[in-house]
Amino acid sequence: MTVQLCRRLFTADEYERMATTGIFGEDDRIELIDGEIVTMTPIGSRHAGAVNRLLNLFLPLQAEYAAQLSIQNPIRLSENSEPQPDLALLRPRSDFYASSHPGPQDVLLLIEVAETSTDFDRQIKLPLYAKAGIPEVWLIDLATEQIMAFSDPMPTGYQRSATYPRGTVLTPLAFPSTLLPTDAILT
Amino acid sequence: MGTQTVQTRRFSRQDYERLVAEGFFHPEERLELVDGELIMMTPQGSRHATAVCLAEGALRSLFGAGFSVRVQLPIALDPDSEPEPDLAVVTGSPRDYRDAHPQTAVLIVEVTDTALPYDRERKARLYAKAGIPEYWIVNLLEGCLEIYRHPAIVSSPGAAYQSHSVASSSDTISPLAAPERSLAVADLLP
Repeated sequence: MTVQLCRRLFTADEYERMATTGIFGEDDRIELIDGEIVTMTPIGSRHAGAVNRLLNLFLPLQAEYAAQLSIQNPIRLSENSEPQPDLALLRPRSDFYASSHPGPQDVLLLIEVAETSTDFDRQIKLPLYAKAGIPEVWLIDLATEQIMAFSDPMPTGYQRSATYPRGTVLTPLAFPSTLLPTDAILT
Repeated sequence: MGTQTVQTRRFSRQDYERLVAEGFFHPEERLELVDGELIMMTPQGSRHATAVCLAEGALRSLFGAGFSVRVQLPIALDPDSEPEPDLAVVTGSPRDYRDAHPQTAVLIVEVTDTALPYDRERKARLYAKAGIPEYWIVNLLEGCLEIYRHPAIVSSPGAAYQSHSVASSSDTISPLAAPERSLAVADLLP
């Protein structure tokens, strides 16, 4: 005897269509993860501060048209995932991604900030990012005050990872001349 | 984003009905909304379908004028639930529910050949919480009828209905809403 109890899962197309029906409010913080519409926790001030600091640090790249910064906006990752990472560095596109959400090929770097636990990001989202071929992901862990950088994506996961504690400097793979001191990111 | 527990977005009945009205779902999808979760119902086997037909006939002859027997149709049970029980006996005639689904029933019946825990626990809690006075499970796995009556005022897991009895195929029973009539349990079993 099995209990065949299944939640209805949604494709990214359905998810976007659902948004046009107006059932989600402006305040709904949600993302589509493997077909599930997942609610995100409210953003605390430390979390917001870290995103603001990152934005400041990456602004020169934006000013040079080297990257399009996108804050907490959707990424069309696959047929059934459309997450909203805290920050994405995208390839600049003339329409500012107005005609469609960026796909994996448009992403240079994704950054997730975690105030309390990185479990969801590490266990659920990171494998999805690797599978989609996102070249680099950073997890900013405010609880342990360190930054984990993941690169070399394979369908099975990221092949390389490095941890940057306070007092160190990290560099996006796509922009090797941009040096970011972890102390400037971690609040 | 820093979530510790993964929470899925709940749907209200209003959300669900809007999606249904907009033709969001495939016409052949069988879904029900249970406590804000959209649950896919399993395809029906022939024994299940037969039991639904038998129960439909039996209930129609038990409940006369003044009641309608609805088969696998929605009930607007609460703001976050719109299940589609196998059978629901409601007051009034079909046209009474032309503009809105019924919000309650005098009797709900589920036929179960696989998802016993779902019907016994989650569905029983749901129906009790909504004040459905009587709930039957036609249990095809054990060849019996489970009868749940008197919804608990405070619903806690496992205590959805205050009274629970099991009728075997040799028993006859009378529903609370038609106490003067009776039905052989054997007539419900395929």
